[in-house]
This record gives sequence, C-alpha cells and structure tokens, in this order.
Amino acid sequence: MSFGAEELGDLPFIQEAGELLVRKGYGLSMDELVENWSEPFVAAGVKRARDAVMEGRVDESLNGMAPEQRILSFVVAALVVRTTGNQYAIKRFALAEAKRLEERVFQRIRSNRYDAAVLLSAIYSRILGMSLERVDRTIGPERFEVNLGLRDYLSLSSSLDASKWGIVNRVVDGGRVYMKLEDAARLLRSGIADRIERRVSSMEIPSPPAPIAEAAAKLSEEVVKTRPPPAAAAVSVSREQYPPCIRSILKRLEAGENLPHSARFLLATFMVNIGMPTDDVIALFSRSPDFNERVTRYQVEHIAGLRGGKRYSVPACPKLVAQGLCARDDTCDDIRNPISYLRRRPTGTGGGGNGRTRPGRRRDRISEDEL
Amino acid sequence: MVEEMEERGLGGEEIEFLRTSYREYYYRAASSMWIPRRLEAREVGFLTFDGGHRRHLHFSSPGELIAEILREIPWGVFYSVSLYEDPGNPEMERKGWVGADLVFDIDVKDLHPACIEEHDFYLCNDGSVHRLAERPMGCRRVDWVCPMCVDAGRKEVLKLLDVLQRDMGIRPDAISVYFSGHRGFHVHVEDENLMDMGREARAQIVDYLMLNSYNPGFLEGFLRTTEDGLETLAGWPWRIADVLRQRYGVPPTLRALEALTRGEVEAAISSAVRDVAVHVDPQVTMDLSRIFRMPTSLNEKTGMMKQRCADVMACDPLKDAVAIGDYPIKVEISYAPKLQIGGYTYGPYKRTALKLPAFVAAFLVSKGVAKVIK
Repeated sequence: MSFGAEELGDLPFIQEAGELLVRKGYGLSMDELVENWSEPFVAAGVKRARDAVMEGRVDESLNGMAPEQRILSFVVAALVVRTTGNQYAIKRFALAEAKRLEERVFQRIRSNRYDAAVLLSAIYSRILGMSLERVDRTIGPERFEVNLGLRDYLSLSSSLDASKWGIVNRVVDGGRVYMKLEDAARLLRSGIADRIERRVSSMEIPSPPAPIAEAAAKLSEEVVKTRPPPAAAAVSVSREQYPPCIRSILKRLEAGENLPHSARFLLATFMVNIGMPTDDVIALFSRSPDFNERVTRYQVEHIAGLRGGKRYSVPACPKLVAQGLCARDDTCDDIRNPISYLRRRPTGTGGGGNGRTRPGRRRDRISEDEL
Repeated sequence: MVEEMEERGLGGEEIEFLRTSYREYYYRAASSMWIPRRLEAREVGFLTFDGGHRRHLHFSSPGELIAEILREIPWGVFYSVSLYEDPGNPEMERKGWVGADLVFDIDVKDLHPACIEEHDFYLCNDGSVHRLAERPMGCRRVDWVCPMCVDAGRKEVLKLLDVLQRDMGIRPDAISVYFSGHRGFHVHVEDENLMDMGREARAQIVDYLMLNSYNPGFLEGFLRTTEDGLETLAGWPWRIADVLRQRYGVPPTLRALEALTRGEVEAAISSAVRDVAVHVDPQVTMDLSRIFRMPTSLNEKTGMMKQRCADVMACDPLKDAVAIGDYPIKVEISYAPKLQIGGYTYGPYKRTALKLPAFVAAFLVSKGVAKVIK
C-alpha cells in the first residue's frame, strides 16, 4: 500500500511525509519555517519536543490537527531536540515518538483489524525493511494474523521481557514467528525509535534560527536539571570491584542502550543485594532512554522486598550464561553467582585476590558491548 | 597446556610419535583439507606440540594455510566462527567483527548416557584406577568413547536438526554435521541471513532449543483445544503434544490430560519438555570470539579427525574418523577400557605392553594411558 495523508501524519519521519508537505505548498527550508513562526504548528512542535523528552509522551491533542500540521510540528520538534545536541534527549524523543505511533496503530486495530494489518505490514516493510506477512492461521485454540522472520523478530524483541517475548514462548514455524496484531504493534517500538533517533541525529543544522535555538536552550536546561547524575557507587564497593557482567551492563546503560529485561533484573537484584539504597538503584536506571520512574520504582521496590515481602536474589551464573549476560573472565574463578565475586576479592585492590585467580586464561574473550 | 601434557604423561617419545603421525596425516591429506569459506576474514589458531597456543593467525589463501599447517604440524587447528575486517589483529575489539556462522556443540557428557559411568575413570599417580563414583582426590579423569556415546550424540543431533529445519526454517543444505573427533558433534549453519546475529539473539536461539525459560502456561494454553485443534499445532507445542500422545495413548487435550494426570498437567508437561529439549553447550553458540576446531584436522584428545557426517543416521564416526595409519607401534598401557575404533575392538588392557596399529596407539597415548616403547 502507499500511505495516505492521514497515515503520513503519523509517520512524519519518513520521506513521503516531506513530499506531502511540498504537495501541500509548504517549503522545507529553514527560512520558510522561521517566516511561519507564528503558526500553530510551531508552538505545537516546541511543546511536542518538550513533552516527548521530559514526559516521555506526545500530547494527544495533536491527533486533531491536519496531517501536514502534524508533520510540520514533528519537524519543528526534531529541530529543537537536535539543536540541544544532547543524545539522551534525542533518545527520549525518539522513544516517545515511537510510542505515539504504536498508540495510533492500536487505535486502528480497535477500529478495523483488516486495515490495521495492512498498515502494520506496510510500516514493517517500508520503514524497517522487514516482511510482516499477513496470515490467517489457527494453531490450537489461538488464531494468528501475522508472522515475522525469526532474525527480524529477534532484533526487535531483544529489549523486551523474555517471559512473554522470548521465542521459546512463541510459536516459531518455518523460520517465522507467529503473532496477533497487538504484538506486532508493540514489537515495532524499538525499531521505530532507532529509525527516528538516527534520522534526528543525522540532521545538519549549521546555524539554527534564533527561535529554535532558544527553544532548544530552554529544553537543554530542563534536561540537565532533572536528569540525575550517574549514581554515586553505593556502599563500600567501588565500581571496579563489580563482577564483569555487572560492569558490562553499566557500560551499556551509560551508552544509552535500552537493556533487555533480564539485564535490568540482574542489575537491580545485584545492587539491592549489595545494599544500595532503592533510590540510588532507581537513579541508575534513570539513564535509560525509556526510563519511567513510577514503573522502575515499583519494580525495584518489588525486588528489594518492600512490596510483596519476597526479596529477590541475584540470578546464578548458569542462568546468566543462558540469558547471554555472562561476561565471565579470568577474575571470576569458579564462582556460581555474581554476588560471590565480591566475597572472594579483597576490597581495595584491583586484582590478585586470594591466589585462586588464573591470570592470562581466556584473555581473548570479548564481551558483547564491544561488538 | 604444558601442565596438561605433563599430567597426561606425554614425554619426548610420545610427542615425537604423535607429531610424526600427525605429519604423515597432514602431508597425505593436504590436498583434501577442508577450508573455511571466506578464510581471508577468519582468525586461525594452532595448538602446538610444545604446549603453546598461536592465535590471531591470518591467511589469505587456502594454500598459505596448508603450507603453515605442514610447516608447524599443529596438535590442534582452529578457526574463528566470526568473520572480521582485520582477523590478524591481536586485540579482539580491533578485529572489526562483521558476522559469524551459527554453530552448535553437542557434548555427549552433558547427555549423561549410562555408558559414561561404565567407561570413564580416574587414573591416579600411583597407577590406581577408580570408577567415577569414587571421585578420588588429586587424580585425573579420563574420558572414553564408545558406540553408545556416539549414538546418544547422534540422537541429540537429530533433535537439533529437526528444530533448526522445521521451526527455524533453515535449509538442510546450509547445515553441516561433524563428529568432533572425540565424543561430541558440531553442527555448523552457514546462512547469510543469520550471520549478523549478536550474542543476545544467539542466546535466544539456545534458550529456544533448550527450553530453559519456557512458560508452562504458554504450552498448556495450546492444549486447551479440541482433538482436531491438536492437529494444527506447530513448533514446541506440537512436539510436546506428540510426546504426551505417545505417553498417554490419547489425544492430549487439556481436558483429557487433567483426567489422566489427576490434575498434574504441569508436571506432565515439564516431563515432556525434558524429553524434547535439545542439549547444546550454550557458550559455544553464544561466544563470538571463539575459535572452533577445523573439520578434517586432528583432535589432540584422540588423534582422530573432526569428520563430516553427511548422513547422521548412517555415519560411523569411530570408524570413519580414523586418520592416522595402521603401522605397528609398541606401547606400554597402564589401563584402558575396551576401545572400538577403526572397525575393530581393542582391549580392555591393564598393565600390559604390546604392538598396536598407530591410530590405536595414538588414541591411548593422547589419553595419557600409554607410553611408547622404542
């Protein structure tokens, strides 16, 4: 299918959206944009940038605007966010925009499943370059409407909760993963966020016009003020003394990666169990682009046993191996649990330890964050 | 490795014998050695007879690799499953990873066939031999191999191939099965579409095969159907239903199972899961910096080669993987359980000296249970 104007209003980051603007008589040069600075789409765009970055969502009142106005407001928002030069802000923006698209697709699913399937399939192929096949296949008591190639499915599902999204809990047949439309809509999020992030990051704005620079400066200030600094390493354990798996996760978190659920669970249980205060653990996660304080607090407090009463222990090494989180190196000896790493190393020294370490072995192993 | 050689009692005579046999094999096999595709983008590693490792080797043509094998006569030859822009760079992070074959290692030890308890043993410095259950302190475990080990591995390979082909849609011609030369199987998948999968995606594939984090409710949900509905199942739900059908002799709808198991449906499912799960070594599949034994090279644990099993049902690796010649070598054996290789049965032996074909002597010497007598 080719996207109609209504759809393009919700896909403002693709090339056809720009073409629609031209057809509707809007120039795309920066000068023309500044000339129209008093038009409603400008204020809507500045607000859109702020809402996305600071609140993690895009205001629903946008939905009532004409498609070209929606696209223009996105362009303004993207310019503002790009001008902040803050990668964290760009990631937050991209994620909020991807969630907005997902919500629009959900609305479509609720009103017309057939249309929604066509739209989803077009989004997968045109934006992600993936083939989401429409099917009507009954497997036992379940009816599946779409399937996606295994490789594509894995690349989109890696940051999602494995107990629901892991392929072991999906029907996989003939190299395709079977889904209902709702799952296909949710699965889009990380892929779309990546595309938006790349798109916004690659925008070149040599000298932003004053109104955009002002809006960006204001947003920047707000981001810096509210984004917590990297959490001070808690307790008496310094970061160098953490086991390699934990160090690797922290590094990925700081690089702005959206971590898989299993990695978050490991990090949270480890920190809670070494006695880091709950607020500091939550602050660690605040560097994640999809950070939601309410949800994170609930989960961390749950892990710490403040809700539900059961305190969760750190997953054992074999489990981490199975989850692809183990970054074992020669300092790990034969520990069975990351928490034991601390017990067997004297505090304050970087290596050596109790004489059981075997330096030089497995030194060529590379950890996943280097890939 | 040097320690390991000393531990295995490999002295100068033994190493010279093995090296001569390996040299003879590699010269004879030079023109028919298996070479990894896109060799120029692979790291190659040797285990050498002086006990060292040479890693980060890089060859731009098959001829260069063969020439180096003939010059070095390595004890083991390995190649990276990963492709790199600069495979010879000694720093992993500077090699420039571009993709990797998907590989699986099935180690018979993990399958716990009954034969292992019978033939594996501990050999102590005083020459005493102990069964596995005794777990003596300070003694060396010796792993043995027999046709039952091979059959256990073969069965697991067939389970793996079924999932790879039927569920993951991998074409049979993209999959090659090899006997490791010791007592395992290696399965190589060369599918361009899967090359760029990172560690996490590979971990997901392992998790799928081993059913490590399956959700019982997910599998049970698929049985909440009619007898006709069971016929439409696919993937794991289909295999689980198939096992339950054989076990209980009726179509395993949830309703039927609840009656038959007196409400213990979850236990019945988890028992079926244990039957169908495929046991692979997770690290081997996930570790993208690993170097993997090269097909047609000799395995330092036995002197047998890593040999292609084109027909998994029919191949007879303990016969086909024999690579070293059969000229007679006199050895002194401390202890050896029955050994079936090269189409004949040898032993069991205890404190005896005799002449054996070189490939049998090489097996026993490599296992550290025999010394060469000049």
